[in-house]
Amino acid sequence: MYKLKQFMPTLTDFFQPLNILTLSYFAGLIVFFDILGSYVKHLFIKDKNVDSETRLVNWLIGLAFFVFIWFLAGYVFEPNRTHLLISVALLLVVTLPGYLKRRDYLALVRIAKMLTVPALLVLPILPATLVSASLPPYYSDEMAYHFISPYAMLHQLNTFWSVTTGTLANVPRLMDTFYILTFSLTYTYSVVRLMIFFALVSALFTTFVFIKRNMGNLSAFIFILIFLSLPLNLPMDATVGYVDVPAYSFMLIGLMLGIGYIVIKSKDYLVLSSIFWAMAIGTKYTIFMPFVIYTAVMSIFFILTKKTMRASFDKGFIVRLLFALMIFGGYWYVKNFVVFGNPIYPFLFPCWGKFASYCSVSTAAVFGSWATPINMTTFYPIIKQLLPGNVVLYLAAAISSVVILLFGDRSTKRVFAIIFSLFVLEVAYLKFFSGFYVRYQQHLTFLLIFVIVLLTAAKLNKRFARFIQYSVITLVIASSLISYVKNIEGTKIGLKEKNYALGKSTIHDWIEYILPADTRIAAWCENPPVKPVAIALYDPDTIYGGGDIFVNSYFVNCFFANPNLTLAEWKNFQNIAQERKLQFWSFSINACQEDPSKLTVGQTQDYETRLTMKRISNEIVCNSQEIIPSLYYFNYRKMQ
Amino acid sequence: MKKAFKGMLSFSKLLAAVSILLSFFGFLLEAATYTGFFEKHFYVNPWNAFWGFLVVNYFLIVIDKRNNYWWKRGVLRLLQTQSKWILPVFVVIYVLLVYSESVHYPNYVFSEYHINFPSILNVVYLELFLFFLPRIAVIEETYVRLVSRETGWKQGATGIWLFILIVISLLVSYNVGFLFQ
Repeated sequence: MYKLKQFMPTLTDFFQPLNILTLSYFAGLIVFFDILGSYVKHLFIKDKNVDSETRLVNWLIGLAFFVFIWFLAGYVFEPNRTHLLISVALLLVVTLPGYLKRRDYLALVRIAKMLTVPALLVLPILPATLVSASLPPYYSDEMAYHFISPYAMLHQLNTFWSVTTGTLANVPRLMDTFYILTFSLTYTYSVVRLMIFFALVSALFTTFVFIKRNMGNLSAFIFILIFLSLPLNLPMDATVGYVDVPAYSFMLIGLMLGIGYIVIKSKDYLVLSSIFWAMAIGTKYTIFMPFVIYTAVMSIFFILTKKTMRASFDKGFIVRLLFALMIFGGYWYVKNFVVFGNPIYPFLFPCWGKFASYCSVSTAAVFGSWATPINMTTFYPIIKQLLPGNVVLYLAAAISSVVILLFGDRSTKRVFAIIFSLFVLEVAYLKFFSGFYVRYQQHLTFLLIFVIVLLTAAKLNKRFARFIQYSVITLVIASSLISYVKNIEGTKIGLKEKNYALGKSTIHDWIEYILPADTRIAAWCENPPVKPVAIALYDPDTIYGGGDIFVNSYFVNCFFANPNLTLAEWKNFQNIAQERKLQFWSFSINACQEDPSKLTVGQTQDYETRLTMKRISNEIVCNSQEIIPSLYYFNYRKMQ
Repeated sequence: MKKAFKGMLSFSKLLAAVSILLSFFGFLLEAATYTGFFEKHFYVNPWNAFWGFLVVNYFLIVIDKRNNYWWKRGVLRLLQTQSKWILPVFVVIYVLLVYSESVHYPNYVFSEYHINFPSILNVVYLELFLFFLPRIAVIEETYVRLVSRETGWKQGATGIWLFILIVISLLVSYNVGFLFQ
């Protein structure tokens, strides 16, 4: 009788860089999402022009729909590799025949032919992007909560589909869920990282196609050139496991399709727009307010053009719109409303029942500590942050606004009014409610770029205005080309990163590089004496200090969990340990301090709590055996 | 006046030919030696020669209405038409050298073959430009003609005005402030 060899994972089973295997996972997933997305899109979109124009983003619709399916299915089935593969196979059975019958892939080839220029512009950043995309977790918040550890993926998947309190567990998690599902399927984040970049590129290229068709080649070229000329460090920013880039990519598509409706008046633009807005708000809370503003501005637009409103607002259309909003991202808000009584838990509104004390958090209180308040002094630096590195661009945005208002044709003025209102209302909201933080408000960059692009497409009736128009266009193209070249030249990738991407160094080398003090504990957790091991974590320097806590991202058979010992009990630690027969492992970067009165923590708001944490950690360390550096084993029997 | 203009055009063509050749052979020589070799011995930075070529090329395309496709003769014709062969050859060489470096150790190519391979990339850029030169020329010419039509200015004057704007962009992008410090 053969006995199946049990899968005993080690670190080398995870975090593969981009290679033939992981690239084929990536290609397979893209094709699957494209098939699924094309199927779902046809249920919502009937207009063939809209369908062909937005062909590139079908895979994003598929991605969002797949996450929705698993948002529901995750409460019943664990989203492990087997279950995910079964779901993929079942969905392909339903969607593939129609895809082949309609020959949806041919439309993709047709649209690809229009993308030579943007593809050439993106090409130079691709090598650096492929290196960045190959890396294991390395950047603060992606290690803290966006990416999960191999241990969490193998043993704790259900915890992500359970009702718990806490802001991070209940914010919209469309992309976070996608990260978890893809890691569960591929055991690496390189596929996820490349998809984040691909999402941005898809959004940019779709916008390029839209502008090219409706405003001309020059405007489309200027749009893509300006964006790629901004020193945003895309190889890193668009592959890091945050959700900001996908969020503003979805929003860009939603916004562009909204403009599409104003210009072309096809209802399907609005439906597709609501799909992408839903994906954006399903990805990050910070998009919710721009979405409210967008909805308000578009509604006012309908009221002012009554004919359009009457023609558009039939019941079927509204149902389609709301349905699209709901299944592509709105469900996160419904879930929060059902569980807590507050759709944007825990912010602003009160919660019901036992959750009442967790809610009504002011956004200003949360963001106030790191966001820039908006006033006359900070306005110019804020604009500089939105269009960094090129003074010509904000001059161009200002001149464009004036020229369009004074000399623009009606259609251009109308689109400008919408863009301007969105910008002004969001800045007003930020002034009174939270403040500005460029990573959260990066979408405003697109509004400013759209203003410049509008000028390039505007039909101006005065020769003098046209002189200004073409002078601005020339300045923008020339300065953006120079910035673009500087940007490409400035893209540097470190040797350690290159080595990991090329497979010349191992995951252990990588951990030693980013968390040198914690390499041994990550290796120890591959094969600890008992599996799994709960490691206690009390030391505030380990938790809040230099990022040692992030070693958690590399745990295969360990997880952080404290024993039955609260902070209040630290003074009676020895008695309680004997009484409760405590035995546990503990992680602390600090050695034993014989004199507890010498223990200190830095100045902080919760000074007393952290000092207590440090005291209890010290008690544990002083009464434990050091297994490896920073890892201690506490046994009540061996207590001194 | 006409004669002077004609003489200036002929001189510009010569200048363009010399600058692109200096640039091409400069990069090649630096690939075989080290970055800065050409400037040290011939007092010309290959990149500066290339920028010079761009400027002269722009004026020849925009101002000389009778002979827009001026590089279709002489040694430049050879460089432009053969770029479709030279470009892939240098791309392949560059990729092989990068690969070779990546599978061995940093500076492997230089220590083993004495090739300063980043300079090969400059040759690739140059050949890429020469390959697309006809298309770039058409775009430049069409753009200047479009602006000339829309603003009512003459083509030559429009070309010069746009050139001034490009120079302004260049100065602003490279932070003109440092000149006055």
